[in-house]
Amino acid sequence: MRSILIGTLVSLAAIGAVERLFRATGGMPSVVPGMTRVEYQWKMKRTHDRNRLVYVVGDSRVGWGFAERVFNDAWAERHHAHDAPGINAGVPASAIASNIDYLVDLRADTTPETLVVNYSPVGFYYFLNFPDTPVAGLKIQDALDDRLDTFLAERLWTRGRPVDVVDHFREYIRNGSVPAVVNWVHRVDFADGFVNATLGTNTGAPVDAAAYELAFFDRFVSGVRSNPTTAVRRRDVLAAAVRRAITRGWRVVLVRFPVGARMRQLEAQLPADLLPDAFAHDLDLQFTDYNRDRRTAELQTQDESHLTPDAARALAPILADDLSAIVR
Amino acid sequence: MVFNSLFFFLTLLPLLAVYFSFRDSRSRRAKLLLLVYSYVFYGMWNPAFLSLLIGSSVLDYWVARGLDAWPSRKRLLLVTSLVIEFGLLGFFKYYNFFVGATASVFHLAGFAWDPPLLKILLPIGISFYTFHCVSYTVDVYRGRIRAERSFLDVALFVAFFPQLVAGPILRAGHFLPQLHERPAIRWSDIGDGLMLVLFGLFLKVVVADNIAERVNDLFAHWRTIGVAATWSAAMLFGVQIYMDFNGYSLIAIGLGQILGYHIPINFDAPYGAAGFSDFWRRWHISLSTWLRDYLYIPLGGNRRGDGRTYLNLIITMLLGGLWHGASVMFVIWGAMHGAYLCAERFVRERLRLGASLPQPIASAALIAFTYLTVSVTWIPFRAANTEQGLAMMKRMFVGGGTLDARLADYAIALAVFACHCFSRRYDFIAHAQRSAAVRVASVTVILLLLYFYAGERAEFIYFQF
Repeated sequence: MRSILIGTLVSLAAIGAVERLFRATGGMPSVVPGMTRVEYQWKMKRTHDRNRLVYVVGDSRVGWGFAERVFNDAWAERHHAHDAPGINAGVPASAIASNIDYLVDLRADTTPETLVVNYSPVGFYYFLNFPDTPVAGLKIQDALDDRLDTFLAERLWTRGRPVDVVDHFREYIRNGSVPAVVNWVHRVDFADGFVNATLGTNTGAPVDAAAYELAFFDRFVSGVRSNPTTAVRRRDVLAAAVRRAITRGWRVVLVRFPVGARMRQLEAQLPADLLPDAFAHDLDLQFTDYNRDRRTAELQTQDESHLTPDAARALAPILADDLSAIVR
Repeated sequence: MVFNSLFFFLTLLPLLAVYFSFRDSRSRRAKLLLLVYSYVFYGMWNPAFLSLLIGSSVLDYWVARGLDAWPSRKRLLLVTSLVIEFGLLGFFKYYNFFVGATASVFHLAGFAWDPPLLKILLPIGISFYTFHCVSYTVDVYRGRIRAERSFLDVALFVAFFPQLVAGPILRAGHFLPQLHERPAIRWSDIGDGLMLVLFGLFLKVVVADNIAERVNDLFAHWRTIGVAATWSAAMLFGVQIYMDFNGYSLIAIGLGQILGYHIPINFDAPYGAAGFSDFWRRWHISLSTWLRDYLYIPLGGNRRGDGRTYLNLIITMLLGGLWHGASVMFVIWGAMHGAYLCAERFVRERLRLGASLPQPIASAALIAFTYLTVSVTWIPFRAANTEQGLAMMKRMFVGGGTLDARLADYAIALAVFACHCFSRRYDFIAHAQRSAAVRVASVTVILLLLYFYAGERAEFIYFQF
C-alpha cells in the first residue's frame, strides 16, 4: 500500500510539473466551445421516443443562441400545453448537412418532425466534422463521463493530449517560444438550454472576439469568392440532406439568427447563389431572416456572430410565436 | 457502468467508504450495499433489463430451494430452470439469428418466407449471468452445494458488480461460501487489489484502446491489405482482445480483492500455450472450465470412445463460439477451435506424445505454431461479416492485396508473444511485484500513461457477448 501511495504522489508531482511547464511556456487548454459529440448524441437519443418536436439545427450560432427552455416555456404558454417541443441541436463547428442526416436517421422509424435550419455560411459550406458516426451503445454513463471530461479539460490542460504536449515542448525548445494562439478556454452551460464559451490567448493579451470571428469569416468569404467550387459542392450536399428530410416527411424551415452589422456586410459578399434567399428559393423553403425583423433589431451579439445570452433568451419567444404558426 | 471511466471511480469511492465503515464486511448491511450498488451499476446501462437480472436471481433461488425440498421433482425443477434461463438467453441473443437462418434454409428449398425479425436490444452481460445462474442450480441439483437460504446471498452472487457484465464467470461453489466467511481485509490485500485494478486499466485504456485504432483501420481496409498486413491484423487484434478482456478481468479480480472476495483468474499468458488444449487452459479460463464441467463432461467427455470424444469437442467449441454471439463467424471460430482440439488429440494419441512436452526446440515450435494458428481464428472473431472473414482468412495463405504491414504492428504482437512465452518459465510480474521499487515505478508509470496516453474510450469488447 505504501508503494502505491508513493507511486501516486510521484506521478501527481510529475503531472503537476508538466502542467505547470506547459502553461508557463504558452500551452493552451483544449476546450470544446459547445456540445461535444457524446453530449449531442445523448441529447438527441433521448428525444427518440417523443414527438411533435422542433429541432433547431445549426452550428455554434444555434448552440449559443437558441434558448431551448425559454422557447419551450413560451410555447407552453401560447398553446396551454405542457409539451416541450424545442430541441437545441446546434453544435459548434458542425456541418449542418451531417447534422440533418443524423437526425433524419435517428428518427427513421418514428414520426417525422420539424427541422429549423439556421443559415450560417461556415456551417453550410465549410465545416465537415460533426456529428460523426453514432457512438455505439451510448448510455447515461458515457454522458456523465463526457461531462467530467469537459469539466477537466479546463483544469488539466495536458490530460489525454500526448501529441499536442510533445509538439508544444518540441516547438518551445527549438524556438525558445511558441506562436501566439487564440483558443477556447472556458465553457459556460446556461440553464436556459444553451452553451457558450470564452476565448483566451496564450500571451495573456485580451481577445477581441468580434475581430477574431470577423477575421475567420473574412478568410472563408475570400476563399469562396476566389474559388467557390467546394462551397457549391457542399451546398449541393446540404440541399440533398434537406430534400431527403422533406421526402421522409419532415417539415423544414430556414431561418437566419441575428448577426452583427459587420458580419452581415461580410456575408453579403458571398456569391448570390450561396446566400440563404437563393437556398430557400431553390428548395422552396419558408425562410425568416431575423436580421430584417423589427422585433429583433435590438438584439446584441457578443462577437458579431453569436447572440449574447440575453439576446438568445429574447429571441426564443419570437421563434416560438413564428414557429407555432407553422407547426400547429 | 463500465470500469474504464472516471464516473465509475467517483461512485466507487463513496461505496468503499461506506463499505469499510461496516465492522463486518459480510454483514447483511454490507451485502445489501454491494447488491444495491451492483444493481445501480447494471441499471446505468438500461434500467429495464434489471428486471431480467433480478428475475433470474429469484427464479434460481426458488428452484434451488425446491431442489432441496422436493428431491423427487429435482429433474423437473432443473429442466424448468434451464428452459427459462436458456430460453431468455436464446430469445434475446439468438432469436433473429435462428429465424434468419431458418428463412435461408427455406429459401434454398424454394419456399419464400419473410421471417418476423424483431428489433431486440441485447441485455448486457446476459451470457455471463445466465451461466452464473445455471452453475448454481446445476451444482445444487448434483448435490455439490446446498441451496442457499438467503436470497440476498444468491442475488449478490448473480449480480456482484465486479464480474457482472463480462466475467470472470463465477461458480456458486466458489463464491457463495465466501459470503459466510468473515475475512479480515488487510491493507496489503487492498494494495494488491489496487495494483490489479491499475494493471487492468493500463491493459485496457492504454494498450487495447490505442491499438484499437490501428486494428479498426486494418479491418476497414480488408479488401486492399496484403498478406503480411492481414497477418498483422489478426495478431494485433489478438493483442487487443487479450488486453481488453484481461484488463477487464484484472480490474474485476482487483475490485473483488479490495472488497474481500476472491475471484479466480481468467487468463494465464495464453499466447505462450503449447498446443490448443493448453491454450484453452490459459484463455478465458472461467468459460472454458464452465464449458468443460457443464457441457463437455455431461456429454460424455472422453469416456465414450474416440469418435464420441471428437464429437463432444466439436459440439462444445461450436456452442462456445455461439455463446459469444449470434453470427456465423462465431460459429466458424468455434468450429476452428474444435477442429484444432480434435487434430491435436488425434496427433498426440497417434504419436503417443502424451501430455509431456518434447525437447525445447520442438516445444518452441509448438508454441509458435499454436500462436499462429490461434491468430488465424481471430479473423472470423473480429470480421464484420462472412464475406470479410472468409476473404481475409484466404488472403493469409493465398495472397493478394497491395497494402503492406507496418513493422510496428509485428513488433507489438511479437512483444506480447515473447512476454507470454517467457512467463511460462518465470513469473516475472509476481517477482517484480515483490520489489517495492518496482511497485513504485509501476504505479508511477501506469498513472502517468493513464493520464497522458489514454486511448479514445471504447467499450470492453466482451460487453457485446
